[in-house]
Amino acid sequence: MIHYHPDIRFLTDYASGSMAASQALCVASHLHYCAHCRAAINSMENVAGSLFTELAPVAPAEDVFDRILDRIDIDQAAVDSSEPQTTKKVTTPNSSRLPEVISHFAKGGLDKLKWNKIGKGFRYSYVDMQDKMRETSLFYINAGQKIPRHAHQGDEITVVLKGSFSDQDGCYQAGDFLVRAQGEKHSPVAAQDEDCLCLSTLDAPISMTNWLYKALIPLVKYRAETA
Amino acid sequence: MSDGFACLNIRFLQSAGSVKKSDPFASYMRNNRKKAKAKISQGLMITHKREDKPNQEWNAHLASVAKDGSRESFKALFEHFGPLIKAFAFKSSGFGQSDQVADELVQETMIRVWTKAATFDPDKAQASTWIFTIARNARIDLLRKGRKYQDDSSFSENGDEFYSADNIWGVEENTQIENEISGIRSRQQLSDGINGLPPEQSYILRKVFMEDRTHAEAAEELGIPLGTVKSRVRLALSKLRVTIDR
Repeated sequence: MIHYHPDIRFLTDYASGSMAASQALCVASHLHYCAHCRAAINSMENVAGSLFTELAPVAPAEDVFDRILDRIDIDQAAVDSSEPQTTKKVTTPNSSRLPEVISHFAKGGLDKLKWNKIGKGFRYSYVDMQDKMRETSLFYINAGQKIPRHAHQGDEITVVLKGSFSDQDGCYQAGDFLVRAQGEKHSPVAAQDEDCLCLSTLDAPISMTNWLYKALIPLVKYRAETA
Repeated sequence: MSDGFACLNIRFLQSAGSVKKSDPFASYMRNNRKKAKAKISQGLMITHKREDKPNQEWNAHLASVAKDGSRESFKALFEHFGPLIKAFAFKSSGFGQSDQVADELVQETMIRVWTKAATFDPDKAQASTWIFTIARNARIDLLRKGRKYQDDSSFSENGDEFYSADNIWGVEENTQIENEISGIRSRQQLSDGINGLPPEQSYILRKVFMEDRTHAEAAEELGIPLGTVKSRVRLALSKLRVTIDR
């Protein structure tokens, strides 16, 4: 049972396409598990579609249509001369599998990614989203392990993908979408029976010149370990 | 931009027929038609002036493109949606106001419409919504491409495909049941609903859905608290019967 969902701001920003890709990755992962939010996004897209048709039209340049046809002819020629394409497989969401976006990222399976260990509690793998403003990673908290209490330097979104963990504020399962503000302290503990896999994206890298930061590098560098 | 204009509808008045000559609002509209027309052409005023063909026609054109590769149907789609896509491009500050780049979005979107026409399912989506989502994703990709040439950051071995908008937006298919839950309303009902909203709500909807601004950016631009943006969007959407709360 999913209890934690993206709020209206996240849903709208996702549906409108204005959201940063790192955060959209988190929303997309949540949508894999949550039919209700998929329906909400669907409705919002309908609203946007309606607004779209009411925009004051602006005529494209005269040659645009011809250029489109030219491109289509070129693409068609390329297709004709190659293998017949099978239509893309449409997957229905199935919460026992990982979200499609994660499978896309981790082609060949999660174990093929580069995992960095910190202590015996967990390991993380950096997800390069080509975004200097945010750090995104996948991470595991090993079964029954506790992450030491610490705060975030920036706002963080975490989506539980497998297993569960809890902290002083609640217990979180696969599909839960959590937002933690800058400065909030917590200490997550994974459930006893299963390693907990999460996706996380964190705002605002810390300044590298801070001596305290350097002293705490093992903990702080991996900021995404919380949720 | 005056909020008051956001919900004026000339077409409605023209077709109303029964509006009395003495009606102050109607006479205001008659006297200010020139001004209103000017505002329309500047894109400052949203109206139903363009003949709004029912979605069935576009569904048929899309089917015809998919099955027969009909260029006639494709042209009809281009002539209707192309100018809307261009207007949509101008709404994003990320493109500047470049005619060339806006045309590029039109091209990219229509090419994708052509390629994907076979995947369009009229039972699952409205044609205009479907084309909007394609334009939205194409806009994301074009903006990212623009940033790529400005940035000197290295790119991961994952390859471009992972970062494409189609990979992150709209991957998980909606099942029929979900569409029933979300209660897809007819285009006309939704359109009437939007035009019936109080000005500040329809204005904020246009800002967040059309203008490529996040809630936070809209709040900053308008000089209002983030909470106000959220509640206006929430109110507007609930009036349109879009359910968010569980």
